[in-house]
Amino acid sequence: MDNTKKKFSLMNLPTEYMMLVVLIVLCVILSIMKPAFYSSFNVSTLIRTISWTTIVAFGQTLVLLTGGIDLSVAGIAGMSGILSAWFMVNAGIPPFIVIPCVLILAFVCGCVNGLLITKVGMIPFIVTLATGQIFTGVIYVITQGHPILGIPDSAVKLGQGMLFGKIPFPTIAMVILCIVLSYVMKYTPFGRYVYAVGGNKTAATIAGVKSDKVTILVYGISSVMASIGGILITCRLGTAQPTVGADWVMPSVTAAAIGGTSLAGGRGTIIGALIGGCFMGVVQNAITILAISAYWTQIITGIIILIAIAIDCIKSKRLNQA
Amino acid sequence: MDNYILQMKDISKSFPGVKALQHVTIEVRQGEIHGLIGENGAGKSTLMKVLMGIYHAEEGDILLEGRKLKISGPKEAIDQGIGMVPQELNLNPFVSAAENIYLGNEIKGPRGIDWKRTNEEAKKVMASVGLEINPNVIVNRLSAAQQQLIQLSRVLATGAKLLIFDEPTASLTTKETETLLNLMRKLRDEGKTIIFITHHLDELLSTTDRITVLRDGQVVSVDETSTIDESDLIEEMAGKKMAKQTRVERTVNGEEILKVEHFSRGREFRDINFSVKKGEIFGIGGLVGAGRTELISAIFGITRKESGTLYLEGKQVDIKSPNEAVALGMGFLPEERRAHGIFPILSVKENLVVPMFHKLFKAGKIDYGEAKKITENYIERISIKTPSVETQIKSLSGGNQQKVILSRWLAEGARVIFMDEPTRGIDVNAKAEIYDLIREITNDGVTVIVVSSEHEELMLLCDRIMIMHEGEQKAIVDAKEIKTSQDILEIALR
Repeated sequence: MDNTKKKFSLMNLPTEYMMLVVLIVLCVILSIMKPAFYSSFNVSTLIRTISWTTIVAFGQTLVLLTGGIDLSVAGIAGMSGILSAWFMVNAGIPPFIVIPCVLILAFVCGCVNGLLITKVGMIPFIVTLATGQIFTGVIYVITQGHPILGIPDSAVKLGQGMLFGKIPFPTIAMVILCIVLSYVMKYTPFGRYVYAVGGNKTAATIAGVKSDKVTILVYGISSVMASIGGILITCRLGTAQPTVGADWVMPSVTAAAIGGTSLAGGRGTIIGALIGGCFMGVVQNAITILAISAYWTQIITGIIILIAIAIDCIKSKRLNQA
Repeated sequence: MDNYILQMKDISKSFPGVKALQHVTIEVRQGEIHGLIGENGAGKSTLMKVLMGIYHAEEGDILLEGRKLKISGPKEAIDQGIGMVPQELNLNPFVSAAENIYLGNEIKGPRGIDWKRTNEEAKKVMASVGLEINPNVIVNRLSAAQQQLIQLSRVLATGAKLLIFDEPTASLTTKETETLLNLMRKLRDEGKTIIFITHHLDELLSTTDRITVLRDGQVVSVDETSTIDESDLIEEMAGKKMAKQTRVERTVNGEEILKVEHFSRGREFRDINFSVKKGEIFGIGGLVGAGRTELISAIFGITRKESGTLYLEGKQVDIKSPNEAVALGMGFLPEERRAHGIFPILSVKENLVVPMFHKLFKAGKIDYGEAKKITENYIERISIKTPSVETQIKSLSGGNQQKVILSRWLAEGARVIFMDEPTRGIDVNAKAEIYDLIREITNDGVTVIVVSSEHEELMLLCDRIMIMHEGEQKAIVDAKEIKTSQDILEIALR
């Protein structure tokens, strides 16, 4: 009723900024408890580790915004890593040709997801579950389960290199993608259409938005993000492991959700996914450097997700009552 | 002394900013059909929700057969013999009629649910409401009227003595309505007591024994039905505040802008022909199921017509999606504002500029300053009440939401705007504002095509009215020639 007397409190912040505050507090506490936390080695390892899943989470956020989910990101990431390695190693094609081609292929695969969802009318969960299986299958058909070794140095540099000897290239890729996508979501019609389609698809269609096209593009972009993650980690490792990205699906959803993205669609931000991704990385890092048994990681992550989402629900309930 | 089955005394209930019920007292006699009427927002539904334990009143008592009751939830109300047939059916569409009827009230045997007896009992209950169907049939295969009878059967299966019908005839055809009203009379004669909420005065007058009128959360009158007529009821419902809307005579001299020839789509509508002039307000009327919404949806490209030709300013156009209609300068206000019109959690500004984002996209960037200016301009021009341009649209009233959606099309520069039930769920004053607005924009050369179930709305707003019935075009008449709602019905049913 009275907006004038709105006091500042953590609860009044958008979810992603609330999580950012918590994240900063967490980092400060960790630094005081264990100075090793802010050693340059730990920090650069940490920010590189979070890059892969956070990049995937950017794409996942777009999909969640439309009210869908993309379970095929694991398969796409793995397939992209393996295919780019195969072409670089076995066909000897230079990375600067291979990588763009693989990204285009990933985009096409994602658009197939979107086409099945919009034009055939299948449920996103099932479509991406199935296509994810197919993409993963392609990996094993190509590799017969063996890793591909001997990725050329020029590619390895992409994954292992550092700017100023401190900032890993994958982290830079993550930051650039975050800025570009945030801009697209805020300042281009496509970005606003994603929110419109997720908020109310019928209303968007009647308002003249090409809802199907927007949805298809979103799945295409999600696949490209997964593909970038897969290629970067392959370059980082120097070998293409068939299992690359296999366990990225849930972390990508988690990062988005912790960052305030609603699984019902229409609400969420790219910066939220970045904050969520950092949050999960820091928690995992904390478990390591505080020498807590690694077996606790999942329990702690689960609890954090529940708390974050619960706060979000309580907040929106309150808003509805006002 | 009167034999009251239900007495609700001095009930008060408020929501933030609204006193929904103020010391409302309603007394229902054993074995009567008691009508409850009032405008939208008068408090009928709130009162019934208090009775069903969905809302809790701040003050007041509920007495059932003289005993004071404390109802904390629907389960208790049902246990006490109170049952409601809600306006929006709440059946599980994917399971059988019998399972729906005994949902929450399962017939159990020694090994879980006794399906054999459930089906037998369901069959008996359904027969008592005149529904002779297989109890195993899946509910989504039944018609709306049949589903409503399933809902009624559920209430009867709980052994309810007091039945509440909330707008039961809203989605029924005339014939189905008559059947339902007869059924209600039969139930009364069998000793049930009925509270009947409806907007249809004729139904009330022909069915009820007594009528309570609510206005602005207060009881205005309680009358024996035999002592009053329609105009009494209208007066009591409306009170003094309603300055009765008057028809504004207009002359339209514009050229033909839209022409529809031989439009057909399956059973929805067949061989529809009409043309509309620039600046005209063209109404489409008829009863529920006439195919009005289906027709304009097909013109706008939401669905695909099966045959027919559309001309816009003399040129033949083929619209395959709403996107193409918008590009041609058309706009659409859907019937279900909440479900199909607004983006609830987006701002007023964003809701308003949705169709024109591509126009605002300059030098690689959406010009939000321009969007804000456009929005502020419309807020000012057609007095949209909103705290700011950034407010989420869901927190606005229905009338203001509708103004935002209308502004959306005006800002986009639409020349032909389709409006499906433009004032549904909007209060009287906001209605008048919407009508004025429609007249204003048509004077400026916009063409408006209005679909409405409220005949009065068509009569006082439109220049010409096309009347449809069960998919067929019955007539196009000059609105001046239509004096009463009965004239429209006669044309439709002739």
